[in-house]
Formats: sequence, structure tokens, C-alpha cells
Amino acid sequence: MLFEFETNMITPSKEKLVDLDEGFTKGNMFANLYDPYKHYEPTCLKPQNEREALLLHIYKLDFALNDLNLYLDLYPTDMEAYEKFKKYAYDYEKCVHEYEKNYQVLEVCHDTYGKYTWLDNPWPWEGNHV
Amino acid sequence: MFKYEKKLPYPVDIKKKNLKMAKAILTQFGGSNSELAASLRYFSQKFSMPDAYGQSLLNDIACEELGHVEMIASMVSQLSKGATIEEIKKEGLDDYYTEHGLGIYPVNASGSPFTVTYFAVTGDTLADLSEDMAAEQKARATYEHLINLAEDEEIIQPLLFLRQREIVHFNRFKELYDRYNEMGY
Repeated sequence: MLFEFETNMITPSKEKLVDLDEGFTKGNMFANLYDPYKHYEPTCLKPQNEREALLLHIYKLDFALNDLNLYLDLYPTDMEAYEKFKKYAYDYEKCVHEYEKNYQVLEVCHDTYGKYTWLDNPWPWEGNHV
Repeated sequence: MFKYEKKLPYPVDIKKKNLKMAKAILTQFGGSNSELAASLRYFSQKFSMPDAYGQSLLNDIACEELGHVEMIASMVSQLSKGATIEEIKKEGLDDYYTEHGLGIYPVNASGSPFTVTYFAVTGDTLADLSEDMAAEQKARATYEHLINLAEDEEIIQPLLFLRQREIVHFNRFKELYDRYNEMGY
């Protein structure tokens, strides 16, 4: 079978998940794994307008999804983590749609709002993105 | 397969030019502990992982690392944007400038170009995962050195984010290693 899972799954450990803002700011959704560096404090980014606020929220959702993705790769039967993953995935799709409708597309195949705009918008490496 | 998304894993918005930091941070694009080495290492090793756990984890971390490659290259690009010849000479970038101008080329902090000999694929599960754990620790150490060198928050914050990802990845690789070790690989 192509996608055969073994029966000896790893027992899910009870991980304490932090919220979206804290997870993104720290770069870690898992409280027990967080390891700060010396006196350095990660700071919360401050959006300057509505567009930036929505894009930053998309960044946060995408980050949480990725960190949960890695966790679920090892603990696929942890339903609590999976429910969080599902909720964030739903919110992510919703926010991306709203952002693309109002500001700019994030994926070229979403460029379906009347004209081809992929070239018009800045690239993330140019700064000023959030 | 892959799809490009017009965003970074964490925003990079650096206004203050700093050629010394550009040269130092470039090492995480083209050095032995770089994001590029990490991405290619896990991408290549995933094919010989024994089951879905290892295949998935290596595949998914490899993709995340490619996003980090773009973050690092963005930092270097913004830190060196608009540098004058005088600044390039003064900050010791004349060797780099000779071949690459202000383009972004994967070399380490002392100018050696990227090479795939920075990583291995042994086809042996435990050997590969041991390397992955070591690689995450070495990248964490490199980020700490970069943070020690940096003075501006707009540089420090993305570096803190990237450092923390090394810690998460190390722990996931270790969990996977322990699982395969118990299974007798």
C-alpha cells in the first residue's frame, strides 16, 4: 500500500501549545521546547495599517501551521494538536482569500481578479512587506 | 512539487545599511551550517527514511529551511543595498565584489563558495539523523555568534527567530532518532 501507517504509533506527549502571537514572536509554538538566548527578548511586530495587520496575521497562522505540521508528523494521533491545526488551516484560507481580494495575490494561481498583477506587487525580499 | 508564496517565514525589513553584518550573515546562505546546506541535506536524505514518520519530517523541515534561505538572502540583500565603492573597500567586501558585485552568491563569511560536501547522505537512518541533530546545533551556535555581532533590532529579531527554529528542529530529529533507535534500526 502506498500510504501504510504502522500500528506502533508514538504515544502523543501532552504538549502545551502557546497562542498565535506568542508562538510567532518566539519562533516556537511549544512552551516546553522554548529556549531563550541570554538577555535577548523577542519583540512583537507592530503593523502600521490594516493591510499589514492582516498580512502579519497570515504570517502567524502559516507559522503555527508549519510548527504543528512538524509535530503531527511524529504524533499524528494527537487529536488536540490536530484540532488546532484544522482551525488554523481554516482561518489561514479565509485570511489569504480576504488579503488577496483587497490587496495583492500571494500565489500566482490566485491571480484571477480581472487582470494579471503578479508583476505589480513587491517581492518579500524587498522589505516593507509587513 | 513546490509552489511559491509571496511571503517570508518571518518578515525582513532592514533599513540601515551594514556591510560587515551582510558579510557575516551571508554565511547562513553559503556556509557549512547554512540554511541551504540544511535544506539540501534533509531533502536528499528523505528518500532513504524507512517509514512515513521520517519521510514526512525530513520533507517538511527541508521545505521550511528553503524559506529560511530566502530570509537570509533577503537580509543580505537589504543590508548591502546601495553600497558605494568606498563603503565596499572600507568594509572589506572588495574580494566578494570583484566576482559578484552586489549580487547574492552562496559563500561563507570568509568567502569560500558553497559545496555539497558540507553534508552527507549515508542511507543509514541513524547516521543521517545524527548528522541532522548535529547540524541543527551547529546552526544554532552560528546564529548565536551572529546575534552577538549584531547591534540593530531589525537584524537581531529575525536571527532570534531563526535560532529558535534550530532548537525545535533539533528536538524533532531527536524524537525521531530515539524512535528508530528503539525499533532497532
